[in-house]
Amino acid sequence: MADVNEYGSEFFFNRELSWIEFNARVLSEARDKTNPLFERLKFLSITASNFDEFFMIRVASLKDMVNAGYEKKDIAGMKPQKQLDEILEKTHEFINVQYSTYNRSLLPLLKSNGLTVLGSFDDMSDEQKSFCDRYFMDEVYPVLTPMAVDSSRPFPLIRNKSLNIAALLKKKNKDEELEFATVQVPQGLPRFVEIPAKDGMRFVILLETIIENYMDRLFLNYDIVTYAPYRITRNADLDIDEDDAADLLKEIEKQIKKRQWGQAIRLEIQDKMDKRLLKILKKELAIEEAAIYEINGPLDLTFLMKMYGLKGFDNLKEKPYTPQPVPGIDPEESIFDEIRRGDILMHHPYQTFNPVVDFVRQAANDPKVLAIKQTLYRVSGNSPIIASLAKAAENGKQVSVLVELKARFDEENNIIWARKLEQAGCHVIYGLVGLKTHCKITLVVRREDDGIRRYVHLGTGNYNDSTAKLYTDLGMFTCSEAIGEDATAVFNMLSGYSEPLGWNKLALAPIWLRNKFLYLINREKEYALEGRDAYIIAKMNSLCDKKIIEALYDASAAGVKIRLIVRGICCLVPGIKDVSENIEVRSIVGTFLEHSRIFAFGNNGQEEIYMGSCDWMPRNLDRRVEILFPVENKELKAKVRHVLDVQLSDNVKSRFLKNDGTYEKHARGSQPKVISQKVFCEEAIAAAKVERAGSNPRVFIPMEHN
Amino acid sequence: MSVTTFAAIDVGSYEVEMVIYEISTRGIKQIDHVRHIIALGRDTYNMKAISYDLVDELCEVLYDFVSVMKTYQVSQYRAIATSAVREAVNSVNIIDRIKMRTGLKVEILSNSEQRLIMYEAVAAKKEGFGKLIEKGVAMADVGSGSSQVSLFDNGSLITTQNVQLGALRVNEIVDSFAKGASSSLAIMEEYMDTEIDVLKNLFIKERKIECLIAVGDNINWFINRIGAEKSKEYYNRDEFLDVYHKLYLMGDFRERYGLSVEQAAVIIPSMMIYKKILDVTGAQTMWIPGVRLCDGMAAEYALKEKKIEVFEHDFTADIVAAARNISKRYSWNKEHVKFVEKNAMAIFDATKKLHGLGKREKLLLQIACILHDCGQYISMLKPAECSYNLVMSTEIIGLSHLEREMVANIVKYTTIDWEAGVGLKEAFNDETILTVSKLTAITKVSNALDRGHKQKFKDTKYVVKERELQIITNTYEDITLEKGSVSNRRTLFEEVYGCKPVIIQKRK
Repeated sequence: MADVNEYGSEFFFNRELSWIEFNARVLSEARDKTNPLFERLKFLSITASNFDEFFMIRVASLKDMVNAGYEKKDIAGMKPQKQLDEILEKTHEFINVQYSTYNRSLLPLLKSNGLTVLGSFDDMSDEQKSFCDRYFMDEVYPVLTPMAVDSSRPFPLIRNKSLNIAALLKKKNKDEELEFATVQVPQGLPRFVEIPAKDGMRFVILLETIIENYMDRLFLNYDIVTYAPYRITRNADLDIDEDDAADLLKEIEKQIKKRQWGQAIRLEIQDKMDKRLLKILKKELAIEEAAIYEINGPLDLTFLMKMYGLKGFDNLKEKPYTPQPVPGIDPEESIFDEIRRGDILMHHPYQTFNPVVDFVRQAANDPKVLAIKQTLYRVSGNSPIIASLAKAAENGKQVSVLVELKARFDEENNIIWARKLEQAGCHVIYGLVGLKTHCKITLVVRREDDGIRRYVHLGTGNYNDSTAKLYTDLGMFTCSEAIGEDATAVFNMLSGYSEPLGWNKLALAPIWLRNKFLYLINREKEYALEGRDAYIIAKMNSLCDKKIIEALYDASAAGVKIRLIVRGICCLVPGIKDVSENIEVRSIVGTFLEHSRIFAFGNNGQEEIYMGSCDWMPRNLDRRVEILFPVENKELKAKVRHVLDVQLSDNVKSRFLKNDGTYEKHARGSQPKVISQKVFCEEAIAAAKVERAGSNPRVFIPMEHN
Repeated sequence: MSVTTFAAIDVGSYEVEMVIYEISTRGIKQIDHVRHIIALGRDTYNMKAISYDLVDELCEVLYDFVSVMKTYQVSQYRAIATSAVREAVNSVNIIDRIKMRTGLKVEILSNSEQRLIMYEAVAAKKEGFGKLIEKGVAMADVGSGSSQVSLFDNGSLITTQNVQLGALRVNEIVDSFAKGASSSLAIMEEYMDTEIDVLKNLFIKERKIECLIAVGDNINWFINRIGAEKSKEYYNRDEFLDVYHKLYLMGDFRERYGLSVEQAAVIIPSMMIYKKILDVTGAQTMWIPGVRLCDGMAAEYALKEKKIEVFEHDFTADIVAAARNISKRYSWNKEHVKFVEKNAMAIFDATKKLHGLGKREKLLLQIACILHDCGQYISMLKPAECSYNLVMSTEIIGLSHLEREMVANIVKYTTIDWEAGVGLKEAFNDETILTVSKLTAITKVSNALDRGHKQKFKDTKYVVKERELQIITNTYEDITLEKGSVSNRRTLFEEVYGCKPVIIQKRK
């Protein structure tokens, strides 16, 4: 292993604060006037759902640490309490910006573009009112469950992330004390309703606004003193002791149920909530002052994602992009024949994910196929891949599927698929004890005339045909023997057999991968010290592994030119004199979620390019099964390098990390605009066109009648 | 092109493994390899039997292997078990339970069969293996229970010796009296030294050894993980010692390499054995071909069933060479041995129609002839008994235990009366007894033909005519002694073949 210097805490950013920085970048996309209006809604919605998860996991786990008296500092030298304090402070600031964006920019702009979001019934026409009336009575009222609290009825359990309305009631005609009541805004109904248009203007109203208007119909014998919406976020960090869990599947099911009722760690209320109401909520939910967020606007902005889906307003949305066919893959042909012709690279979502789905589908029906093995981390609802795997098992193929039950928030989903596959006769492996299986690999074993041949798909993203339309990922098909052998070994390992004696091409976490990266970084350092050109270009989602960062510092100090494209968290501090002057960190936030992981090393003129499922995070390198694979085919290598080059030349969506932890865009000057995601879209369209033109379209020649 | 998918299963002392191969005219290609760590040897070496739980686990693993075999549509397989099962007192039950639960027929290999397979794996691995062993070469096959050291020179095997130094065995023994002792590694070295000294003084002597071929599962792991790059096979002495010391000083290698306790326990002892052998042979280079028993099984299968030339090396010659080396140590009359061998071969060929035996039996006959009078070295009073015991306690690489016992009996009854199989019935089935009797009948006649130890019979021809085996020889010498001797010893031959050996002396 390479020797790496140790660096003090001043050389690292705290990961939580860096994560908030990332959301600030998303938020600034929501504020960016050059983005179409409805795209801005989407970005704002993303920041809201991101924060929900952040609270449920990260803040919750910091809270757990504080409660447990755990005092260990993080790499940036901050104790858990200090991190919490700073996070809460930053979050309050962040929310202010979120809502001022919503109230001051987006709402007025929507209005001027013909869409009003009604905050009350005040300015409604009679037609609109009677529509709401009907809607409430027919759709909403039947599913509402108002709950009063008194000595005989305890405070109900409020579901995680549910939106509720709290009210204070008084029995009619009596002078008794006030009663507390709460009603959940039904999650089964759309969060907002479009009501009849008026004077060419379209109107939507939020569900809670409607319910609030009819509060008196819920509590017939009461006067309503005050009411206000509120929302809580609970600790949802799954903490499963696997040594005790004899049956992981059952344990996870149990935990999912429990998650609804974890400790409340955030309370969002609409500002101007009655003091008496707030006091009751505070006491019953046992929540501290700093965790209460008074919000000037609707709670839970994630509804904006749905609003994006409103019909019409096409001029205010990015033109929808259709993933293009992959040159070299004809959907009519056998995918195996095409892979045999040479390795194939796919860049999603610019290029379609269909070949991957087809790969499994064709394998399921191909009489020559003996076995299909696949890792599934997050699958889509109604996944065609699952259906194909089940079909394959029914067709008598040996199907082994590793379903990672521990994929956060997807556990419930995964259990359903796992059961379905088992019923179909697949061999389902439920992850490894203590390790999450994060690698994305599919192996098809085919018996051909000249013996066994293995086809492998390796990717940077999940086997999820839905997210493949939103996440940028790279995938590769190959039937290289060396990789086929390794893939077989990966699945043998995942099925519980001993690790192989060695690997041909792949590097795997948790055992081998960290050393591989350290070796590669160190090799660049050695070249730099010999006075040769040395560089590293790496693209990933997060960078927070101490050892790797230290190795990068050492390399930078030795003169290695390091350019990092890190979408989210980055704990590395660039631009420190004599330490990280040669390191440049940029983040690209665009319409698609940047998700691919690519690593390029100069290697003294013999550039090596790797791709994989892992970020440079301790959890990826130490606690997950990850795969890093080399791209060796010359043509493919050039394509992957091109992806990096285009991203590096993006001068619109790139923001650069400064050594104070904030990000800023660089002035473009007179250079032409380069938006990398747009470039990839255009290139994919052009490539598909060339492919179409190149092929011989079928033409029927009509017979001439003489 | 016809491709056969073959599975080889090795039930070893601390792991069971299966390798799937594709065998075609292009050669042998490995397509899958699964391993499962299970310390059967620990039970055997400590408690003489393998416990119920481990057998149960073994059956489960083998059952999974069967499903992997099905996946690949394996058409042929061979499953073997080595010392852990062989030495377990409940071995018969284990084999039966495996058969009932998985359908797999596992054969227990004798040490010498096992070593030959390993040796075949090495020979199949490298073209020019023959060339390598032109010079002095030692091969160390370190297992869990014992190790085999073989010496090659001038293109063939010279000698081979099994030493009771196995990684697991040594570890268990040292653990039993020095568990946790800080000096346990030093004690282990000391323990090994006594065995290694015997090896040095009796077998290696002053022989010049240039290269050590190191085989065994642990060294494959060791080189791949701690050594340099994956494909490196040749190490010079210093390179190997470097890696060895790296391991020796590494306190946390188990954690660092994510090893199971079982595997970690055998790594250091086995590397120590290689190092000791390297030291004692003085070899300057080491070849680590990275082969395993399964490779040897595949090679053997390819050769036997598919007639694919996987070796450029002749193993039968090795078995014969090994026998000759034993004979060299004990026999005082080389010419006599040569005569008996030559004539026995000729009689065998001439009587083919009468005995219906094949190549393998001929080999046994040859070895029996080579060793037929070695007992005289021990005692002139009871040479037959002594020969028998000598053969039985000598490793003849490539012979199964059964075959070795057959040879020992042929040797024994060559010089004493065939007592109609008394004492053989316990050890052999009828068919084997018949084979032994057929071969013994030949050695008896062949030996009688040189009763005077003067090799009087020259240019002898053997012809079966009617009810006679005519032994036609050109000699002017007086063969009265031999004639009398043959007529004394021909009873068995007549009984077995239904024809009478008759000497016809032609004086030209």
